Formats: sequence, structure tokens, C-alpha cells
Amino acid sequence: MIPEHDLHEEHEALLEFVYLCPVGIAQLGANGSVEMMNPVGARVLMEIAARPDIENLFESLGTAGLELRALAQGMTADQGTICEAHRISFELPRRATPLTVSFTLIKVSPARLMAVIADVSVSVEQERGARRAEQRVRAVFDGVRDYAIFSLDRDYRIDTWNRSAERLFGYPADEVIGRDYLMLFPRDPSSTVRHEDVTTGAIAGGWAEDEGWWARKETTRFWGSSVVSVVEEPDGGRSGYIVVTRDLTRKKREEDDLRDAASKDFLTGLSNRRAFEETARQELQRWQRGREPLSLLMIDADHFKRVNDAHGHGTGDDVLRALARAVQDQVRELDVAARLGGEEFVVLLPSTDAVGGRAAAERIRTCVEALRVTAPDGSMVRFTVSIGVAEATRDAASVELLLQRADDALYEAKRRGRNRSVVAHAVDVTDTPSRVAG
Amino acid sequence: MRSLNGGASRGVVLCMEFSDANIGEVLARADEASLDALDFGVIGMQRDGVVTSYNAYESRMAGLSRTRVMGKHFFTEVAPCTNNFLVASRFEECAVLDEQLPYVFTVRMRPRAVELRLVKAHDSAIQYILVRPR
Repeated sequence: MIPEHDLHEEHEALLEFVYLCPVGIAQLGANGSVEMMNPVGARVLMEIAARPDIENLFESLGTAGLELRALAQGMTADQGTICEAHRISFELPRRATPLTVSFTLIKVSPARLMAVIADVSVSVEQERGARRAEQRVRAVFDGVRDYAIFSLDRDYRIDTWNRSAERLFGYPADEVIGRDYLMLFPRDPSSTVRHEDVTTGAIAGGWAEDEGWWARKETTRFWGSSVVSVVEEPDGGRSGYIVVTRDLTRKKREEDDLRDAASKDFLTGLSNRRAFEETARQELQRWQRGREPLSLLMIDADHFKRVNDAHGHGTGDDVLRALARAVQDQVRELDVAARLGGEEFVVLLPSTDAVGGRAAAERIRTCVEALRVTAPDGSMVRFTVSIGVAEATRDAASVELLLQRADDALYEAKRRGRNRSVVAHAVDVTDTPSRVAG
Repeated sequence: MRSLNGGASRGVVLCMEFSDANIGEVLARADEASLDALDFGVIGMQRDGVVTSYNAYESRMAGLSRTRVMGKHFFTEVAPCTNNFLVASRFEECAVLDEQLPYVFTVRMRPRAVELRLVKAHDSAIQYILVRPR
């Protein structure tokens, strides 16, 4: 037997426990009559009660009480949760913000309900503030039509993606979230270099600018001007990156068009002599700094005067255009093909020695050999090219000398009967081990 | 003030009504027996809320013994439901206070409509909450 004294102590402790309980708890009859309630419950209800007594939860709360009663009556089962954290807001004259009370009602038996009543006004206000801030940010984030905004985690995986990004790149968010952002770069070896350049710059200075092509989901691409910023953690660590990019394709095209007008050969669309010489000088400087070889092809259409004489200048132009296309098709993107004038073409081949140059020359030669151009009289015009190949060596370390060497080889090819390619031999190999093949 | 036939000791009990105008003065002079004889609740506390008197009526209503409540902070440790703008804040705000208000007290776990009278005199270190059923 427990001594009565102890029972009394326990009872008192229990009462105290319930008095101090920081949320309202109540036991109700099925009709909402309050049978037991702790002080916090009473205090909350007193604030929101439509009448001074709180004998009955459903009756004392006005329309909110009717709402709770409807929920309770809607529950036909003998036991179960009637509502969980059901929030009702009360506009009170002496409060600037509504008082929001969360009601949880549990049906213990057909005749008894348990209620948890909590004033959640503070957390509701906090949630509202957080939601408002988020909506504002979202409005900016999604509203900027011209700027795609996306963020990356520290491992360059995409973790947010705004609507403009969806529009610009053509990918819905769920197809990019979690993936490496290199998927947005064109499949090109230079993309890795570009990624390294911009991220190194961003890490060093907090942000970096980037201009370049981005790959859309469709096979097209767009020219983007971007700013990549580092997202820093309060402790100074780096948690990721934000990329803001703008589609400047049209501007880029206009600039390219202007540059093309100055640098392209009007007939064939290849580079013109001026642009070629400029590029060739840069490539030679690079060659002098590095260890990669550099070669040059000099291409001349055989007996071109005969084509012009036999079929007219129009057909002659068609032949030159077909030849230019063949050249362009047989070389790499990084190679520079140009029309120097008349029927004379040139191709600069970076990272290519004389053997590779010869191979490229043969590809072009055989390709041209197979070409047919239709003349106005319906006849098929065939034509061939002779090609001189020269690799840059110390004794031919200028554009002029290199061109001269290739031209010499071309002359040799013509002399040997045309429709062939000839590799120039190094004139002076005393101090330069020649890579040249015969 | 009238004299009743008291116990063996001093035989004098201070008598008062809930609505007496000068109740503050009377309470200040009342001993424990006088407070216990009242038919309404009396809670006396220092300015900081520490309970100094807790009469039998209030003890019975709340179900808490005097020893459990004495020396505790009333608004936080005994009746947090009064730690609000209606009760606790009134004592903080007013140098002198004597007002009645309808309230709901939990009496043995049942909310009961009560009337509170909050009393604070400027020359007394003790402030009072009186409680009676409505």
C-alpha cells in the first residue's frame, strides 16, 4: 500500500505539472463541454473566446467553434484524430496581428475528446515573414527573363535552375538538377579549359566573367555572357557558385558579321589573305613558344584558266566555291583555311607535322578529284589540285618563309605533273633535326 | 474590523470582504489565521512575484499546499496562466493598483469563471491577487 501522504504528494506534483505545462490541454465531452483543462488552455481560450465563459469549447469560440464542432461531428469512427494542428486565426481588436491558435482534437471514445490548444501566432508570423522573403527572391529569380540564373554546389553540380534558364537552355529543372554543369558546355576540348579559367578566376577574385557558347538541350547553342560568383559560407568556406548568364547570340552574330566582312573572302567564305596572315603570325608565335609542330598547305587549282575559258567565269566561281568547301570539309575546326587570291588557297595546320600535313593534303586532293561541278551547258566539270606542304622549322620561322617553302613545294608538284602533293624539304637542317618526311 | 471568538492563542482574527475598499491595508496586517478564515483566495507576493502568503481557500481551490507554493515565483512557477497582459503586466506597469477583472482560473483542472482583484499599494512591499468565484 502506498501511504496516503505519498499519494497526496504525487497528486499535488501532478497538478503542478499540469499547471506548468506550456501548451493548453483539455478533456472535452462529445458536445465540447470542457471537463478538464490546464491553465494555459484556459488562458488561450479566454483570449479568443467570443463570450466570457469557456464552459464549452464549441460554443465559446463563435464561428471557429462551429468549425471545430463540424470537424468533430464529421468523425463517425469511435476513435481517432479529428484534426491535427488545425490552425484558426482570430482578429482581435487589441492586437495588430491576428492570434493564431492551433487545435488538435483526438477522439478517445464516443463520449470523450482530448484537445491540444496552442498559441502559434509567433511561429505563424515567422513563417509568413520567411515565405514573403522567399516569394520576393523567387519573383526576382524567375522574373528576370533575359538572365538565366542557376547555382552549383562545390562540386559543380547544378542545384537550382530558374525559369529563364529553362527557356534559354531548353532543359526543365528536373533534367539538370544534380548533374555536372559541364553538360551545358559544347562538346569541345576547349570547354574544359574555359571551365577551369572561369572557376579559377572566380575562386581567386570572388567572381569572374565568361563569354562563350553554351549548349542547349536541342543541338543548337547560344553565345552567353556570364558572371560566375562564388557562394561563401559565413565561416569563409566555399559552398558553391551562382552563374548568371545572358544570351548575346544576336550581338555576337552582328560582331561576327562585321568581323567576317573584314576577314572573309567574299567568294568562298574562307578567311581572306589579311585575316590569314594575322592568324598565321599568331600561330607561328605560339609554335615558337611551344613544342607542337605547325604545318601549312598551299593549294592551287590545276589548269583553272582552262575551266574559265571553256565554261565561263560563273562556272569558274562555282569550281572555286566547291574547292573551298572540300578544303573546309577535310580539315579540322582549329585549322585555318584561306583563299589568298585567284585559284590559290592555303591551310594552316596547328599541332601538325609534315606527315600529318601530307595526309591532310592527300585527303583534300582525292576529295577534289572526285568533285563534279555542273556547267550551264549541263556538262560535268572535273578538276584537280596540286598541293605544297611545308612544316615550320627554325630556318622557316616566319609566315613569309613558310609560305615561300610551301609555294616551292607546290611548284614542284606542278612540275611533276599536277594532281599531287609534295612536301618541302628543310633547306638548312644543320641545327634542326628535321621531322620532314620525303 | 470586528473581533471574533478566536483560538487559544491571540483570539483575534482580522475580518474582511473581497470588495472592501481598504483591503490593501487590512491584508498587510493580517496573519495567516486571518487569511485562512476568508471565503476567497488570497495570494500575497513580493514585487518580484515570490509568494509570501497563500491562504487556505486558494490552496483548496488550486489543489496545491501552501508549503509547495510559498517562496516560488507566482507568475512563472505557480500560475503561468496569469503571466500575461491582464495580470502580471498590470503589476509591472502600475505603481499603485486596485482593479477587479473577470478571469478564468483552473480550479482542480476545471476552468472556473472567477473574479480577480489586483492590489498593489505604493507603501507596501507585498502585492496581492484576490480570487473569488463569479
